[in-house]
Formats: sequence, C-alpha cells, structure tokens
Amino acid sequence: MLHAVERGLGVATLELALDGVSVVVKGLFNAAIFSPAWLLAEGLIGKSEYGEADVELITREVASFTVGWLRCQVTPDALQLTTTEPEEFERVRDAAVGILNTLSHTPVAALGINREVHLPARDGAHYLAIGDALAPKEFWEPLVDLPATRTLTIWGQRPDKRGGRVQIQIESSVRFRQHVFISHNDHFNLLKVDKQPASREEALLETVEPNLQPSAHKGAIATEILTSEWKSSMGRSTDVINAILRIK
Amino acid sequence: MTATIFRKSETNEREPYSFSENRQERMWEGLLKLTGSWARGTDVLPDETTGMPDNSSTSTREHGSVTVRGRVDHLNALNRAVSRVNSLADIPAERITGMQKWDGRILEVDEEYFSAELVPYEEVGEAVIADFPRDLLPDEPVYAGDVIYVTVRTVADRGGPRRTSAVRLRRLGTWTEAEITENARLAKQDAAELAKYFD
Amino acid sequence: MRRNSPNTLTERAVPPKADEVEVSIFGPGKGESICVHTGGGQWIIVDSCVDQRSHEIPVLSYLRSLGVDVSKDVSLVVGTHAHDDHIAGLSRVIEACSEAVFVCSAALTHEEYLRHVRDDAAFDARQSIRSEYRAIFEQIKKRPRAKRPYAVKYALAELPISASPESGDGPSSSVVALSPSHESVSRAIEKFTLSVVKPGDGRRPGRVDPNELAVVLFVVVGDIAVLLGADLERGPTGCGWQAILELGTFTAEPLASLFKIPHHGSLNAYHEDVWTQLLVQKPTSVLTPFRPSTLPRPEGIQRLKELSEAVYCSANPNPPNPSAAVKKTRAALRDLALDVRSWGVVGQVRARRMVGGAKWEVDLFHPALKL
Repeated sequence: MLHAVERGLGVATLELALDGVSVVVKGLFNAAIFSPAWLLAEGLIGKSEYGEADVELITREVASFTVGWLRCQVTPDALQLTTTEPEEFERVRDAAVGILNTLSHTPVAALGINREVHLPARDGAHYLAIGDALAPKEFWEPLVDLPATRTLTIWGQRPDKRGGRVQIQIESSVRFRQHVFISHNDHFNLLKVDKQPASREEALLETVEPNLQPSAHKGAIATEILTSEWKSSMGRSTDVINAILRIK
Repeated sequence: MTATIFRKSETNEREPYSFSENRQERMWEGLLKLTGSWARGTDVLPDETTGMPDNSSTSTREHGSVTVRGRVDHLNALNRAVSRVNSLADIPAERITGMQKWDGRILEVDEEYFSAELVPYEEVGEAVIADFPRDLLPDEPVYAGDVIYVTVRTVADRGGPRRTSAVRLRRLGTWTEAEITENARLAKQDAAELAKYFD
Repeated sequence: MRRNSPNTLTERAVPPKADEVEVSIFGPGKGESICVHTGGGQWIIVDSCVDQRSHEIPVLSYLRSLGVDVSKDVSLVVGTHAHDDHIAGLSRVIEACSEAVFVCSAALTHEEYLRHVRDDAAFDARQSIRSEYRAIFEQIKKRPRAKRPYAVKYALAELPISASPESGDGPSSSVVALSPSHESVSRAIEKFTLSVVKPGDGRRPGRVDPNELAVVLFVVVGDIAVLLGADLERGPTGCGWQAILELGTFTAEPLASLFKIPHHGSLNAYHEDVWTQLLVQKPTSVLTPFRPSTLPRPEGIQRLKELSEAVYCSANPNPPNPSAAVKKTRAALRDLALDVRSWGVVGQVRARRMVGGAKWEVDLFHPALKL
C-alpha cells in the first residue's frame, strides 16, 4: 500500500526504496584538499562520522569518500554531497554551506539541490499506468507495438526571482525491480532575474543558459540560496513525488 | 596511478573487481584525458547540476559518453553496473515509513541534561521545551545557543515496524579569518550608523 | 486588591482614565511584556512576547482593543536586555509604535556587541538570539529623517529616560533607568570582546547575554511609583541590584507600590534591601513564569508572598496541561526526551490605580492567577 508523502517534512513517509538528497556545486575545486580528516578539522563532521570514514579514492583531481551518512565526491569542476538518510538531509545542506564558507575564494558557477527517490509500483499494471499518465500512449500506439514509457524529462521555470530552472526526470529504476526513479533537480545559475518567463514560448527562448563564469563572489550567493531556499526546494520535490504517487 | 574498483559479492560484501591490468589502465587513461581536457578547456562551465544521480543508467546516458561531470560517476557507474547485475531484485530490507523532524535550540546545559526549545520542521504547530540526557551528544562540547535536529522515524523491516530517534548537532564548520575581518568591519560600520540615531 | 475581573471582552477593553495608572504584564509567550499607562492616554511598552499559537504580540493586541493608536500614543519602547525570552517580537512592536523612542542597554550599542550581532547573522532567525536586535536596528534606520536623532536612547544607571509635567491631559510622569551600572557596562563590553570568535572556532549561534545588563526602570506617575525589575540579578559587586542600592544620587520618591519581580522570582535576583529601600512595605507584586527552568519555584513564591501584599502571576508556574499537539509531540519524543512542555498560553495581570488613590485594583485574565 502506498502512502502519501508528508509535504511539510520534505521527507517521504511512505515505503520508498530509497530517498536521497544531493547538493551539487559547479565550480573550480581542488579535490586534493578534501578528505575525512579535513572535514573533521573544519568542524563539518564529528568524530563518530570520521570513525566511519570509507575512502574510495583521493587524488589531485578526484576525491570520493563517505563519512557515515555523508558521501562526498569532488572533481575539478564539481562538488557533490549526498545522503540517502532522510534525517540527515539538512546536514547535507549544512556541510555544503560550511564547505563554501570555508573555501570562500573558490570560484563557483552553479548550484543544484537534488532529490532522488525510487518509489515502488504496486504491480506491473500500476507501473505502466504511471508511465501512461505522464506520457499518454494514444500518439504512439499506431506507430509502435506495446509502447511503454522508459524515461521522461520535464523542465519548468523557477518559482522565484532566481536564475535557473527545475528539471524533473522520471524513468524506470535500474536498481529496484518494478520501481520508478524520480529525480528533482532545483538548478540555480546564481544570477538574479527581474522576472521569470510568463509563457512556455518565452521560456523556450531561454533554454540556452547564459555562459556561467565561475567567480568567488557567487559562493556567498550559493550559501544564501542553500540557507533560504532549502525548505521550499524539499517541499516542491515532495509535491512531485506525491503527485506521482497519486497516479492509480 | 592505480585504483581499485569494488563490486558486491554474493554475500553482499565488497570485494575488488578484477580488471585486466590493461583494461584498468585504459580506463584511467580515459579519465585523465577527460580531466586534462577539462582543465585545458574553456573556463566556462556547463550548467548541469544534477550531479551523479543514483540511477545507474543516467550517468552514461546523456551525451553517449562520459560527460564532463562524469569522471567519478564513470567509476561509480561501473560499480553500480556490476552491482546492478547482482542486485536488481534487491529491495532494501529496511524502509522508512514515518518521519517527524524538529529544529531545536539549546537553552540550558548541565552535566547530565540539556534543555532545548523545539520547533516543528515545517514551522506549523507549537514550540515545545524538552529535556534530553546529555549523553545523546557525546562527541563534543555543547553550549546554550547550539542548534540541534531531532528526528523520530518509524522503520519497517522484516521484523516489523520499529522506531528510531536521534538528536544531531548542527555543524557549520569553523570561522575563517576573512569572515571575522569582514564582520568586524561591518560591526564598525553598524556602530557608526547607529550613533546617528541616538539622542 | 483583586476585584471581580471583567468577564467580557467589552469590559476588558475599557481604557484607563487619564489620571489612572495601569501596569499590565503579559506572559509567558515565549517572553514577557509590560505596558504602563503614564497618564493622559500615553503608554510605554517594556519588552515583548509572542503568543506561540497565534504568533500575535499580546501587548499590541491589548492596546489596540483599548482603542489606543499605538503609532502615536506609545512614547517609549524599552528592550530591557537581549534575551530572546524578553524581546521576542520587539522589532514588530517598534515597527507598530512608529513615534516611540527605543530604549536599550548602553552596552548593546557598542561595536563589540554589534560584532556578535553580525556573527549571528549567519543563522536563521529561529536559531539566533540576536536576530531580533538586527531586526530592531533595521526598523530604527527606517525612521523618517527628522526623527532620527531621537530614535534611540540608551539606558544607563540614573539616566532619565523621559519626563513630562502635569497638564490638562494628565498627571506628571517620569521614567528613570536605574541600571545597568557603568561597571556592568564595562564588564559586559569586556566579555563581548573576550568572546569574539577567532579563526578556527566552531561556527555556532551566540550564547546567552548577561542578565547584569538588564534595564531596570523606576516609573513615577503623579504620586504613584512602579519598579520594573527586568531580569536583573543581585550582583556581582558594582553590578545588579547591589549597584542600584549604592546609587548616590537616586532616591526612590515615592517608594514603589508595585513591583515587577525580577527574573521570574529566582533567588539570584532577590536582594532584601530592595524591599526596604525602593518599595513600600508589602507592595503588590507581579511576575511571569519561565518555562525552561520552571520559575518561580515554590520557595521563591513563598518568599514573595511573605514580602508582598499579594503576588500575581500571568500564568501558573506549573507547566500547563498539554494541548493535543503537545501531547502528540510528547508521545513522539518519548524514547528521547525526559520531559516535554510548552510555553503555554499568554495571560495578563492588569493593575490599575488612580493618582491619589489608595490601592491597586487588579484584574486577572486567563490563565493569570493570584499565587
């Protein structure tokens, strides 16, 4: 039996197979400085997390490790912090804010707040019904036998006066049988806009992102967004999950 | 440079995946080329901030090859591809079926207890004051004013539903010289500004 | 003297007469708040509290119910100290009372304190204890240019805050600050300086500010005096009540007949000489409870009752019966928390006395009670 997700908490309260959040910061990063010891020294994790450190790789250009609930992956152009423990969602945000504050001279270009869930379908018919609701098959039935939705990407405008977009991807889960994978990407290009497009035609003209020059001052904008927009981002992703759950 | 790729064994343990040496070297060569080309490339970044989604297919899907965001996710995609074959049928044994969250601010601390004001995460509902045993936060010193997250979750596993609850300290890192200097400058400015309003 | 309290909103909403002093205390909220009618339709507001269920500011709601135009008829808004249980919502009070002068402790305008306010700006309002002060200063900066030089006064021992002579509109009135002492201010600034963050310190919201900075007010209207004790504690040397009693140039004239008990009746705010030098024998005492520490305690209540004609509290010191929402939270946290309690509902103790009159007439509004 599927249950509704509690919107207010931004956390699914139904039987999701996986519910995770990641913060992605595009910028220019020196992967070599990232390590469990560095996070501990900077007060971003505690001793118990440090004790659970599991390092996959740390080189000059790539760092990938977990410290308890937090997974940290760094490349020259991106920092990604992830957790699949819903009670730690806010601490992922805190870790991102803390890192950006500590590395305040790091040139930053864009920020993503991502929510990903694998949610179960009751059975095969329900699984297909979800795909049919999101992409009706009447158009496809004359053209291909037994059409079924494999993957879908929707873009939408931001609901605030910040540059960027919202991207939602839905596809078959490749991790869990008969599950649907939903990814909600709240993308910020760290620019301000006077107004968002008022129509889809206007939005189409703006699908090409402006050139994103990374700069150090955008780090402060990113931390401000993480602090002030986190809850609304979680709420929006939960709304999407709930809406898909309501598909019968 | 060497690296080890891991896979999940039959007993769900991590074990090294055996590539041939040549294949491993070729993979790393590819990674380095991408890294190098990025470093030499323009200073304008693509805008994607979806990162490395936790659904294996997407990490190699987008441009038909590893994208500029994909040096590590290539590695992970490989991991997941290997583990995917073994674990497609796997459904996690444990699922969260209920969650409640509060933000808290510590009001008082003594040797054995601390009191905190808790506000529901969504800010709907009444704030409460709760007392907690001090050993819930054993890792480090705790002071009045510190912020905590309190969660209570219900988990369903093979044994049936059970509750777990936790208090976690909010961590925002440490102050930097630059921040301190800037705040000092702004405070001086604030004092001068406020002085204009005084009788 | 407690009289049969007005039972209807209409009866409660009768304003005091022009020559009738009123002292109303509201709380807990969280917080506590006091309004004083200083005659002729003029009011002062001391501190602020917020009703945790409605998120309204009870003192503003009350004054508006009396027909008071808070934007004109409130002459002073005082923040006695920076604890957020005393100034929660104060920026909203200042915004509403646009003609009022804001009074705060002298130490809180120094650069050293403002550094702490800046450091706290990294945290959101619910987690910062200084966000209210930031909001207050932002409100002040919005005041019209012509008013600017008079927007703020700082309180220091023996500094007169306001005075007005007797007129056709009402009796004479004066407000004098009895604290903080110069010594308190110096100590506080030193503490602020020493506790400024250093590189590598953990980033966390600021700690509690010292009670010794609290502003105690002596309000005289006609022949009636009221002592508002804020959260001031007994000492240490050169500070607190001890310093007030050592003031050379201040004489309590007349002695205060109503006392807002300091620091929710705690023992560390009690000084026996206050009761003999600043107060009439057996004054009327009013206070609010403090839920986190469960104040006043039974022994404090007993002491106050022995010293006062009557003691009135804006709510029962014992934790209130939990609402359904609080019960639900308590159940949810049963594996983790030892005790869960709420701030409770805001009550009001209202004391009125005619200038030249013999006694305070006290009304209690739920859940206020006589201890």
